Amino acid sequence: MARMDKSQGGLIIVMSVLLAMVLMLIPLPEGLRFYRPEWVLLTLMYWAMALPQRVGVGYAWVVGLFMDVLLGGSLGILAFAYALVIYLILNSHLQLRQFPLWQQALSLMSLILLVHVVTVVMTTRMTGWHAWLPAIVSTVLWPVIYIFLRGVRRTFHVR
Amino acid sequence: MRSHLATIIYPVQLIASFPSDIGDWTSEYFQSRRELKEQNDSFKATQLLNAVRLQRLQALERENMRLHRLLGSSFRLPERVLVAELLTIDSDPFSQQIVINRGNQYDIFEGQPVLDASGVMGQVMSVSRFSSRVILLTDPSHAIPVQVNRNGLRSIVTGRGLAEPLQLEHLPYNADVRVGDSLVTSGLGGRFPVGYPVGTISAITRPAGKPFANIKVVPAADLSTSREVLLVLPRVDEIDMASEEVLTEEIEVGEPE
Repeated sequence: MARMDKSQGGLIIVMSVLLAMVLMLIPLPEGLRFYRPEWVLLTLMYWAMALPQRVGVGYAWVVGLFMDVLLGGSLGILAFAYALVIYLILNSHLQLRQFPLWQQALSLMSLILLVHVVTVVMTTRMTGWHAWLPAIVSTVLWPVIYIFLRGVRRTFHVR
Repeated sequence: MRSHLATIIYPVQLIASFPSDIGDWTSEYFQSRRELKEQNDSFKATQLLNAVRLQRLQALERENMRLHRLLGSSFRLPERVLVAELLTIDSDPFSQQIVINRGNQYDIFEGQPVLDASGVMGQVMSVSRFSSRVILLTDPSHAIPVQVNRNGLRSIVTGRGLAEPLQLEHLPYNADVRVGDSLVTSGLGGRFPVGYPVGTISAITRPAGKPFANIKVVPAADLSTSREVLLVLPRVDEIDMASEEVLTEEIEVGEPE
């Protein structure tokens, strides 16, 4: 049973985050640009909820920093926003795990909106109503992503 | 800091641009012979046309140089350019930026002007080892000094975001501008070389109670469809008036990928 306590599958977590980054960058048709879900954030949220001892605030901060570079924003904004959100998830991951999926998705929507509020407040960019679309798309997709990543976690025995 | 991070994360960007590159490649590869022939013919035609224009331009340039010499002012060397290709990846949809596949290893530097075949696209914002990020004219945080081609009136053009026309700033109601006037870079500010087309004035409104006219400008460059961009290399030197061979324009082309 000693084997159970050892953490493993760190590479799987990294790979899933990298895949999410690629999905954030893949060009979408002009009309769909604003409907892109927050792949990276959702992936981080899942791992923080499932394995809070593996994916914490520091992890989220580093990933956020890379996202700042990838998306061309000011350094540190997404890093801060991701770290903040993961902190809130770590605080309540035990409750979140008990929720049915749709309720989980709604709770996470508030956190995704928080990320958008942070970026809108900290940058002076002009945004319209479609700034909020990714949060809604992400919420709708959460159950799919949750089930997929749970499958990944069980298949590869990530813990 | 940012350039190191960008270098580390470059593979992710490459992978992300891979699917659309494959798409381009296959559609190119399976193009029919007839299409290629047609394309080739049209290229030949434009090439001929351009060659004729170039002959005239060279004569004009020579004449211009002689006149400049008469006036005793210095003549500027033609700029050299480097060709780069876009990475087909999306950035934040609210800022207008593109990533190109040339970086430090080609001596790209921050603030370097970026052009396409028909006009100014923007300037380099950050550089990493293998790629650099270009901010486009349409980005809300970008401004470029311009002058009206017709009368030399100077002003500044700022971006207004995705799919919005540019704005010509700080011109009073009675300024001599008309719809259809073309704007070129003025070279003031020292970032952009003089005389590259920026855009054309598309609409002028004079809202009551505002100090300045509201002037919309359509960019000359193909900001959303260009795949190849030109980076202007810094001028080597102001030239010596006596030498004549400066008229041969040097164009440096990076190897195609």
